[in-house]
Amino acid sequence: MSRSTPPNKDEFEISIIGPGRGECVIVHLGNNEWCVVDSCVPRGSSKSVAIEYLSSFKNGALDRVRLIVATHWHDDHIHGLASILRQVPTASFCCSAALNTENFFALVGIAETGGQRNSGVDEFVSILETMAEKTTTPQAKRRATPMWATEHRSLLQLNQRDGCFPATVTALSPSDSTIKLAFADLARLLPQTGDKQRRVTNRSPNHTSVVLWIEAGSMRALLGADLEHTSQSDEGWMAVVKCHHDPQSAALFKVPHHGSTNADYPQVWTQMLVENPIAVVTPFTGGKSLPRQSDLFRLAKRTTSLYCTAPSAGKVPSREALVEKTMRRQVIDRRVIEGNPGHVRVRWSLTNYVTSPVIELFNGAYQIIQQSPAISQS
Amino acid sequence: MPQKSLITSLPGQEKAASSGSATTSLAVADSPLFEFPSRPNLGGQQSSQWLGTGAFASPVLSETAISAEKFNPAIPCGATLRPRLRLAISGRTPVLKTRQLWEGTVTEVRDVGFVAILSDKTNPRNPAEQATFEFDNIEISPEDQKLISPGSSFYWIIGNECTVGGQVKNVSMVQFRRVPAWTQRKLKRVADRARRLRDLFQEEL
Repeated sequence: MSRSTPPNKDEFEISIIGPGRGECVIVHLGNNEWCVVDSCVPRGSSKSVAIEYLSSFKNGALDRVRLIVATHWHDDHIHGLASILRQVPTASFCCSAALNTENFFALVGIAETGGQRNSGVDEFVSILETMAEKTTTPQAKRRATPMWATEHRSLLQLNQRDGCFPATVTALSPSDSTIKLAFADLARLLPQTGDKQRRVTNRSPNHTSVVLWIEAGSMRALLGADLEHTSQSDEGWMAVVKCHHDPQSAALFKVPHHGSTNADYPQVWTQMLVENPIAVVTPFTGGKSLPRQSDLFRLAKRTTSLYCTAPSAGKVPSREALVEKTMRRQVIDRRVIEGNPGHVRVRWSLTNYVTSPVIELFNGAYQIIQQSPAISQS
Repeated sequence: MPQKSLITSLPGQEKAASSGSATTSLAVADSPLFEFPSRPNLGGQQSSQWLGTGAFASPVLSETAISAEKFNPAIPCGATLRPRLRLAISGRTPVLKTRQLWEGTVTEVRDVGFVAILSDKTNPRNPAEQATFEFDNIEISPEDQKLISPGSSFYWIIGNECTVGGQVKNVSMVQFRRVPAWTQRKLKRVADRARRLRDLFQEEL
């Protein structure tokens, strides 16, 4: 099936796209109603993949985005999110309640004042600017105010519509304890008098990420964001598993934090997911590259239906000989951080279970086979 | 082995130890750079004031010695002289031709170097890259080294420099941006803005 073929109105779709600059999950909740989680912009483009993908259907899908979620503020997740908000003024916007503090708004203020824009917090400046433009009337203000996600907060509820299945989107994190912890983390990023006006970098941990539980008819999906596992029972994945009550298990799992070991909590697989679920990993190309071979090996032991959206961000561009020679002499490691995103698309027909699910791979996405030499443990 | 000096001798200078010989070695180091026939003896004063006592004798001449120098200080036969280079040509300055320019932002500082995100300013269509620099491989001035910390930004230029003498050499230059410091007044303005934003986006539950 072509990538630009829209889903039927009775189909539940989860598309996982990345990494460009950022990554993105696009969810069809039936009846041409959509939810967009995070955002990514492909190399050389200024348009979010969500806009490009939903526009390609030519059925008004972009105008029917009901919810936009920023799982956390790091720019490997939300690049281009403000552009989606501008295109879809009627969508609700949701982000982590851990950001609803004066410290985070101060970081936004710093990014505005500092003049050096190029980080996740700068994307938030654009998001809040876009939302502020909408707050002209009290009614518009209500719509423009972000929903602050906390554990077990329902973010979207779509009842059975026109013979279509009901759908809900629920936040499973951050927990109350995490929100308190985040306050101190954000405070550490704030400058003091006399500090240089530097760019705000992503140095805070990922424990404030918003994990989402999606229900569509009888289907369930768990989107893990970048939430990590900690030793505290009321934080991270332990808190999520502890407060999970849905008797149904998820058939699809977006593996948290690019498959890294610090986000691995085996109880998630045994208590929240069906046996042998579809698991999708998105690579991380900045900092230390993820997933490592050992991560893929570990994940491939848990499911045979493991997919990765892209092999890597791609080759570094080649430049003239003098420049290349000098770079090689002075730089010991060099890699592209903005790639051409790959795409894993899973569609379930909620009226015809025999043909479901249909898994399609686009733009370099691939399945990881346990026997593959690429992931054999060295 | 001692290095040969680039300054070989002053005209007429002789080595005391070999003043009576037919040729005189005038090297200030242990091997001669050129030789010339010895001059006539100018008197006993000469040997004590003109010449040192060994091979590394100081070439400094006293006023008396200079005034006593009545001979023609002709360039000795066979001498190799270095041409005087003009160090500056009026109206000309070194020219840097930029072949590649990046703007970088430091994301991590390590003991031996730092990691930065580079955005290509020469060809903005190129994707951003992450690069790891080692202090040993890159020249950063001591003033700039103090500026390296997460969040600081810099320019990295690779190009050719045409010197005033007309020489062309390859250069790689990393220069960190000097940014102002946060003042109490600015931080207060940020705090006020933060409060206003928070009030604006408070949910009505």
